[in-house]
Amino acid sequence: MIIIVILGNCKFDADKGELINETTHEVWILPRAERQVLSKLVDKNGVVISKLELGKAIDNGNDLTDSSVVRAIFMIRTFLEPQHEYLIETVKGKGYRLYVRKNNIKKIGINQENSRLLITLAAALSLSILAFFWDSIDFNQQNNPIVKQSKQVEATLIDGTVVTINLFANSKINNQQIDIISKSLVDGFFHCKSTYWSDIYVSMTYDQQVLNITLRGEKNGLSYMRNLKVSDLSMYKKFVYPTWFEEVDICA
Amino acid sequence: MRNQYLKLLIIPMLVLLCGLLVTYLFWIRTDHSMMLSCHSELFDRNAIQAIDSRHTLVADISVKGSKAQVNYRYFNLDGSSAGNIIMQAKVDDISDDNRHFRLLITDKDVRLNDEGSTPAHLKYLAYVNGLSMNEDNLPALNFEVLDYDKSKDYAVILFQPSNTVCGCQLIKV
Repeated sequence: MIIIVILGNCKFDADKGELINETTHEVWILPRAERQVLSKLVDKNGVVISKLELGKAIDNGNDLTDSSVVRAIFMIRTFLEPQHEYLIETVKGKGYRLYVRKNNIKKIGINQENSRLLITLAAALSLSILAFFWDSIDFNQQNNPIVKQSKQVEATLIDGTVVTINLFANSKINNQQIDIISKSLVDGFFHCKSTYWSDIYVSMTYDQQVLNITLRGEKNGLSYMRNLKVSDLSMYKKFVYPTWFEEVDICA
Repeated sequence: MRNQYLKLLIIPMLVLLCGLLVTYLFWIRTDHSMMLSCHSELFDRNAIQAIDSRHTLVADISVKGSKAQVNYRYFNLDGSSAGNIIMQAKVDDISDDNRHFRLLITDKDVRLNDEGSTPAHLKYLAYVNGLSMNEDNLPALNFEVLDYDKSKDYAVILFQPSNTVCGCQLIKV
């Protein structure tokens, strides 16, 4: 069975251990570490895999160290290019997860025995599926427009509590505002004596008119959440500032 | 002779198998249902006034089978209505992992409040939700579940094309 996986502009041939950039036609024959890590991520697509698990040797070779796994991930992401590196997501404290749609994983090759029966079966099934989904097939569908977090930073409170700030942007340009906001949030939380929040999600609308801050945590064993949305249509925008943090009681 | 019987059996078996498959696909396709309620505090920054104009927003998103409804209700701080956006939609695509949804808005009703100021967020949303069109000129609304925990009834959603992250309560339906 040959498994071909489409990763952005690249195609991974798991059988040959090759990663091919279909735009530049560059072929990278993966070294052992990269091949092992990518194969395991493909095998468990959509599932978080720990560094330890990724490092366990498939064959009789030696296990990979954590730093070898991290380096392998870095090398693969580099080859995938920045616009597709999000396909391999870092799940903090847990490991890594590959996000590939099932239709981008192609398994080629069938048992040749009873091939006529299999072909008939496949044709009948294909026709049934095609007939059923005919109306909903989008022939002009583009690549999956998944947007992943563009950055993750941490804010540390006076008491040492760490709050993770996830920043989302849908563009690689004009993201200065969100960088400024993340710094302000880190500074703002530094002054908190304590907080219920464990995760903060920050996003800026594509036209930089609305800032969205979602604060998530737990209070008395229950989920606790706040959504703050700031609209600023002025030319010289100032979405967040220290006194505003006090006004909205950002720590609570 | 035996082969002859086998051949005669294969065709009805294939038809039965296809029927079962179509029923199964229809079942999984129509089984997607989800209801979210997202409460937000709105701040309208104004260069002229020193104090932000404040409102609250309750966004309810309901997906059932191939249909969806998205309601945005805006309130003044005293609880009176500040306007709303009611949208009917059809489900265009749901990813295999149930984390990406693509809705096509078939009907949109924007109601502004005659008295008092209209929240800037309402004006923005009314505009942005008409931006991304499909080939049938229907505006599309995509959302991606970034994080969720059914046991704790929450989900964090990223909406596109506005690029808005929002924390929501998962409503049991």
